[in-house]
Parts: sequence; C-alpha cells; structure tokens
Amino acid sequence: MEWNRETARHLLFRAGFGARPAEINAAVAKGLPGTVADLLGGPTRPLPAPTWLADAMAVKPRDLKEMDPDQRQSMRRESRQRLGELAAGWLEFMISAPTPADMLHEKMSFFWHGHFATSSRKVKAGPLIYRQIKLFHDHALGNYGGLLKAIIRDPAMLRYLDNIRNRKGNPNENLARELMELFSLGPGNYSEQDIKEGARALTGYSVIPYQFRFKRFQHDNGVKTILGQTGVFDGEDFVRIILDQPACAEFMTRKLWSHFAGSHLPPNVVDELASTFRRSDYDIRSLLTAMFRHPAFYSPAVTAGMIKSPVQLVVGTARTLDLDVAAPIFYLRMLMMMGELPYQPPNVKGWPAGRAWIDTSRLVTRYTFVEIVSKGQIPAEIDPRMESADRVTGPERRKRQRQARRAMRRMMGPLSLAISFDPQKLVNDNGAPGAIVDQLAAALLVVPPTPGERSAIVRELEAAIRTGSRHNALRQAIGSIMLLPQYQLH
Amino acid sequence: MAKPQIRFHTRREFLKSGLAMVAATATVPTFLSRTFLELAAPVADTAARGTDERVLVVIQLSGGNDGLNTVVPYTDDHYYRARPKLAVPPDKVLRLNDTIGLHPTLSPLKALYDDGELAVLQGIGYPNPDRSHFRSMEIWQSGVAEDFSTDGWIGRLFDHACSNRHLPKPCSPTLGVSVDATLNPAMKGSSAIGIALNDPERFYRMTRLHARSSARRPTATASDVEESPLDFLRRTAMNAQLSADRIRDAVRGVRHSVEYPQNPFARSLELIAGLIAGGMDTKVYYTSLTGFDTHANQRGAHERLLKMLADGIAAFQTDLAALGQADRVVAFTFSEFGRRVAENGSGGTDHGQAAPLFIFGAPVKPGVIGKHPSLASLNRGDLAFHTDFRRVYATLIDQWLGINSGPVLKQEFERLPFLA
Repeated sequence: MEWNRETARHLLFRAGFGARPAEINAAVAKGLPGTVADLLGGPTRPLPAPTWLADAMAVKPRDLKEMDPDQRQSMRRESRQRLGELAAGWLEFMISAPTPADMLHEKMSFFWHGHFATSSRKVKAGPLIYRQIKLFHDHALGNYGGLLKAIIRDPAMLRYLDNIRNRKGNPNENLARELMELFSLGPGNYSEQDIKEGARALTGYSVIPYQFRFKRFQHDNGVKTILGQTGVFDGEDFVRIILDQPACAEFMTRKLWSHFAGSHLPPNVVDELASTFRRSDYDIRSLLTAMFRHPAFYSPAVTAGMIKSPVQLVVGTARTLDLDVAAPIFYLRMLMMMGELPYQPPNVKGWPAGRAWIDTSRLVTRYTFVEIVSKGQIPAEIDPRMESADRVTGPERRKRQRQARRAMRRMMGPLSLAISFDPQKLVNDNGAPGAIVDQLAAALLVVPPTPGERSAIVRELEAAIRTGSRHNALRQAIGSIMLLPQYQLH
Repeated sequence: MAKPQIRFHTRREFLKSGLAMVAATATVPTFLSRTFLELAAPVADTAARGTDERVLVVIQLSGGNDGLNTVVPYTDDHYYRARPKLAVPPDKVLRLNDTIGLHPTLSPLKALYDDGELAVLQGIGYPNPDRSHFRSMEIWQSGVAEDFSTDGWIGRLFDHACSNRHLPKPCSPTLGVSVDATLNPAMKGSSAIGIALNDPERFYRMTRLHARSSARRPTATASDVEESPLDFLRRTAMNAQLSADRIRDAVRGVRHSVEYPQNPFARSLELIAGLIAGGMDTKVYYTSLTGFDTHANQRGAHERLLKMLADGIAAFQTDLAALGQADRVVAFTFSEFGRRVAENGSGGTDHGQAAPLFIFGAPVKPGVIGKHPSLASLNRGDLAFHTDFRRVYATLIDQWLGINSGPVLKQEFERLPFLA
C-alpha cells in the first residue's frame, strides 16, 4: 500500500472531520506509522465544564416539587436552554479542534455518545448529561473495559434505562439487556436467562439527585449464574464476565470498524483486529492503531466513500472552511433537521448510520446547509415564518416578511454578517481557474467530480472572475463543489 | 450564479431534455431508469389512473392528549371526584350515548358523528405502558411495543408493499407525505420513500437550490443491485426535485371550497386536501398538532387545542366532500398516551396510559367501539387499556389499504369494526 496524498487524506477525513491542506501535507511527510502515532498519542484538550453546572446542581428535585407551576415552568425552560448551550458548546469545541489528534478525540467521544445512547428527552437533567459526556471524553481513547464499568454507575444511564427502578424482588431488566445486546456482545451471544440474572446483579445501582448511589438494601445478594459463571455477583462482576467473552472484542471491533471504515469488513480482518483488541486488554488506542495501519482500511471498497453523518458534515464544513458563525444555534437547527441532534439519539440503539441518514427531506436539508454556508446568508426558503408570507399579498405580505426577517435575526444575529469564511485560506488563488478548482476539489472531496461537473465549475469560475471580485468568485466555486453529491461522502 | 450544465424547472423540461431517454438505455442501471420513468409520468396520468385510490391521513396529537376530557364519562362519579376543577359538567357534554359524550368544543366532531362519519374507539393503548413521551411516541410511531425498532410502521408498510408488488413498481417516493419540517419517524423505512414538506412552494424552491446535484446524468454502473452511495445520493436528490415539481403542480390546480381556520394545523389539512384532490399518488399523509402536555392550567389550553382540532377536521371534511374526494379518505387521531385520572395541584394532569381515538371519513362506520375504561379499577392511577393500538393499524392496513398487515406489524392483530 502506498502512502501518498490520497491515502493520507482518506485517513485524516475518516479519523477526523476533514483536513486542511497543510494537515494533509504534514501527514504525507510524516509517513503512515508516524501519522497514526500522532493521531493517537498526542495530548488532547479536556472537555470544558459549562458555567452553569454548579447552579444547576444546587437545585434538587425536591425543590422543584415545592415550586409553583410558573416557577417550575421557568426552571424547565432554563434547563432546556442549558442543554441547548451544552450541545452548541460541544459542537464549537469539535470545530475548534486544533489538531487531527483532537479531532479524533472528539469523534471518538461522539462515537461513545451514540454507542451508549442516552437521550436528554428522558433524562432531562443537564448536569447528568454533561457528566456522561465528560465520561466519554475522558475515556474516549482509553480502556473499553473501564468505560463499561463506569457506565453501570453513570447516573444518566441508570435513569435512562430505568435501573433506578431495578430492585431486589422487583427487577427491571432494561439495563442488563442493553448492556449485552447493544453495549458489548450483540444479539445471539447471551440468553434471556442471562438477562434476568444480570438484572439481579445490577439491583440497587441507583441515583441520588446528581450522583451514583449503591443502595445496598435494594441489592440482591443471592447467587447468580451469568453466561456460565456462578457466584454472588454484583454489577462489576457482571461487566467482568461480559469482558471475558470472545464475542465482546469481536462485537466492538465490528462497531468501530463500521464507524470509521463503513460496511465492508472481510472476516479475517475482524479476527485479526479483535484478537489485537483482546490481547491489549481492550485498549482502544491499540485497536485504532491496528485499524488505521491495516491495508484493508485503504482497500478500494473502503475508500470508495461512505455517507457523512450530519455531525461529520456540519463540523467538517465549519472546521475546513474556518467558518465564522455568529449564533451556533444554527448548527443545532441544521443537525436537528438532518436527524442527529446531540443528546437526542432516536433510542437506545443510537443513530442508524449509512444510507439511513438520507431521505429526500434530509438530503434537501443537507444541500440547504451547504447553500447557507457558501452564500453566507439564510435563504428565506428555510424560514418557517416565510410560509405564511407566501399565502398573502400586498402590505400584509410585506409585514409578515418583516416579521420573518426579525425572527431570523433574533435567532442568527445580523443576517448579512451571520456566516462568513475566507476562501483564500483554502486555495492559492493566483492559479488558473482549472488549477484552482482542482485544488479546492482535493481539499473538499474524497470522491472527485466527474469531468462534466469539473468543467462546468471551471467555466462558472472563469465567468465569475471576469465579472466580479476574486474573493466572491472563489466563494462561489467552493459553494458549487460543496453542492456536488460527492461532498456528502467521505 | 452561473447556470449549471443541466437544470430542469419542470417535468416537461426533464422529458424534453432527453434524460428520460438516457434513462431507458441499457447503460443506466435499471433501478435508476425505473425511478426516472415513474417520476416523469405526469400528475394527470396518476390522477386518471388512480382517483379511486384509497388514502389514509394520520393526525398525531403530541404531548399526551387528555382523553378523559375529550370523551367524557359524564355519568361516572369517580370522574367528578377525581377532577374537582377540570371535570366537564354533565350538562355541557355533547352526549354520544347514555354514559359518554364529547367535550363541548368538539361540536364539529359531534356533527360528523351525527352524519355517520365518525367512530370513537375507547381504551386504546399497549402492554407495559411507558409514561415517557419519547418512548411512548416511539412505540406508536414504530408500531412495535416489545422491542426497539429503527423503522416506522408506515415505512415498513411501504417497504413491504413495494417489495411484494402490492403497489405498482417502482414505488414512488411520494407514497408518503408528512406535513412537517422533517419526515415523521413513522414513515422511516429502508426504501427511502416519503417526502416531508410544509409548503409546496418553499419545498420547490429548496430543491431548486441544489438543482446541480440532482440534474447530472447518473453514472452508469454494471449491476442492478449494487447501487453506489453516490448513485443513491443522485437518485434521492432527483426524487426530491421531481417530487417537488409534482407536488407543486398538483396543488396549483385545486380550488378549495372552504375557508380553513388560520393556524398551521388547519393549513396542513388544507394542503393534504389539495394534494388528494390534485391527483397525487400518495397513500398516507401525516400531520400533527402539538401542545397537549398539559401539566398545569390545563383548562384553557386544552380547550383551545380541541377547538383547533375539531374546526380543522370539519373544514377538511367539508372541503373533501366538495372536491369529490370524501369517499377515498379515512383519517384518525392518536396521542402517545392519555393522562392521569386525578388532576394535579396545578390545575393540570400528569402522564397517563389508555386513551380514546377518533376515526373519521365518509367510509367510516359510525359509533362507539369498546367500553370506556373503568375509573374504579385503575392501573397506577391511570386508565387501563383494553385494545391494542395496533388493532387500529391492522384494520386500516388490511381492510382500508388492502395490504397484508402481518409482515408490517410483525404480528397478527384482530381487526376492529370501524369501517363500513
């Protein structure tokens, strides 16, 4: 396998959220082993705590009960707003990742968020959501076994999967089931009886307002038989027994492979990587190192392109263009419409990937996102308030349009200044239009444009340079390239 | 912005451009040519082919509608004891029979009932009720209560019907339309069928934004089954664009017979009536009305919502009849759960379980189906369900749409007698 611009770009696009030209050049110079070592070895940034954390934790559920309805409503509103800020803050943190290693770190943190999917629509408490994300961030590239042990003591998870109701004599099997089916082994590698016994081991793993609490009087101290082992087991034992199963390393290897490489996975490669993972005692860095250095990761079936997740699309676009966005709620709104709002996975299975990301309306939203970014303003088409303006005429129509623009400004800041980027950062603009388009395509796409697409964009750029500023011409060319369906792939 | 190389503003241009011919040649994979040819068929053809096609409209009431104050057990003392502030007085209730009646704001629905176009189904729910909005709505939308499902019941209905040729192949992406910013999860399936839009003009303009992406000649591949991700994206973009044309053309020719109320819910019904009358090939429409999570100060808020619901439905039914479409449309309302029997200390109600739902349309057999759940023996303070909601789905899928419901719902459910 050859290490060149193509392969380096493939690695950086998949391990991160795209790559700037300088980062690709640096990776080519460094070689594959050096680049992988940098990706997985460097010091990375800790997740910043939200400013409201202490305030939010000062309010106990008991206090809420004593409030009058109006107070409670305003508390709820504030809490939703904080969750929104938290999500927007995380996206901005991803976008501002200084190095490819930081990008991989964020990408892995988000992977664990989807893997151990927990929804704020059920958990609601901002501090719990933050602390769970911090757990993923702290362990993102650490030890998977440690993460699995931590998750059965994570308050958000215990609430999300109803383990707070899992008591001796009155078990709730939700966490025990998902722990094996979705988090570690996959269906077919355990029995219904294992779920029942596992649930007993997890009894009493509960939450007092914002912390884990082992309620020993709710815990079942009896003998259990889980996956063929028998003893007086608690939750930690249950996790240890799971980690003893060969199916565990295989399941997680498949999941991580499909996250980074897509659906094509030859059986011998699974065996090889899974055994590396097991031998390393579930060290995530060891698995990813082996994966990123494996020739199969650079095979044509893998490099052909996979559909970007919405977060990949949004964060990648923002970081690659070094986008300046006045109100990050824009990102959240777009992600919601594309179906990947952070903290709101559709269910405990997390987000289904690949073609499941795409339906007509979501694809239209993706193109609309690109259009907004490249034009630097929001087309009236996407403002819901413009609908009502469409239905009337005359002064009433103008009034509604004014209202719509005001509402949009409140959400986004000044419309004309809301979103901007400097196209000259992406390309040496002294070249001929053909060379500029090739450079931009190389920076933005992994699947090249067809000759017809390329020549259309080159002609467009030539015309734009003749009639307007070079800056605007470049910006338009970038928009045209991002509007190609290839931009949805990486 | 310079003109992209190929760009279509209408289906006619698309046809004239010769891409339809390209699509028919052997160099293009069959799945692509099928899609093109299907979509290139003018709306009028669809209309001529299928004006008698049956249509289902789903109305989702989000937040958990208070079923007890919707269909009121006005002779039951338990009701009046549990709701000293919120109960509807017996003399205000619009009586359906000797024990139950509708909330007074639902007089348009009472009129539909009297005209023989409305059925009330009582005690609807599912086993092991979940009081989380999120999970409970997911259960209703997926049509699966026992497990997590990544697709929706309508999405599976399309997947099944298309692969088993219950519907003419290739399946049109406009078989499902959700009037919303995003596709309702109930319509998520593996064949990427279903369009979400709020406004035909806006949807049309949005698809024009990316005319370039879809208006390229699709890359030829050798095989019929192996569609590359790139071709999949091109095909989906093309679907969006041509569907937008088709939808815009369909509603443009329709003259509505009534003035709909000025609210987004009524407007969504107006759009649906327009699409039905405009000859769309859509089998299932989906719309929603939100705000039913009335934990505090319920009375006024709930009355406004019920009025909005009933007035919208009344306009819709009148319009459909005038447009000559009433015989082909059946609609139903549902909510993710009902509310607690006892009112809370804030003049509201908390999350509950079983609830009634309404089925309406000219083809509906009017009446009250099922007993009102007992207020004397509650399940954790809630009304207990006696009829699985999937019996409603099964009846609509089997009997109304004429498609076998077993594979769609993954179980067999007994039908309910609400269709004539």
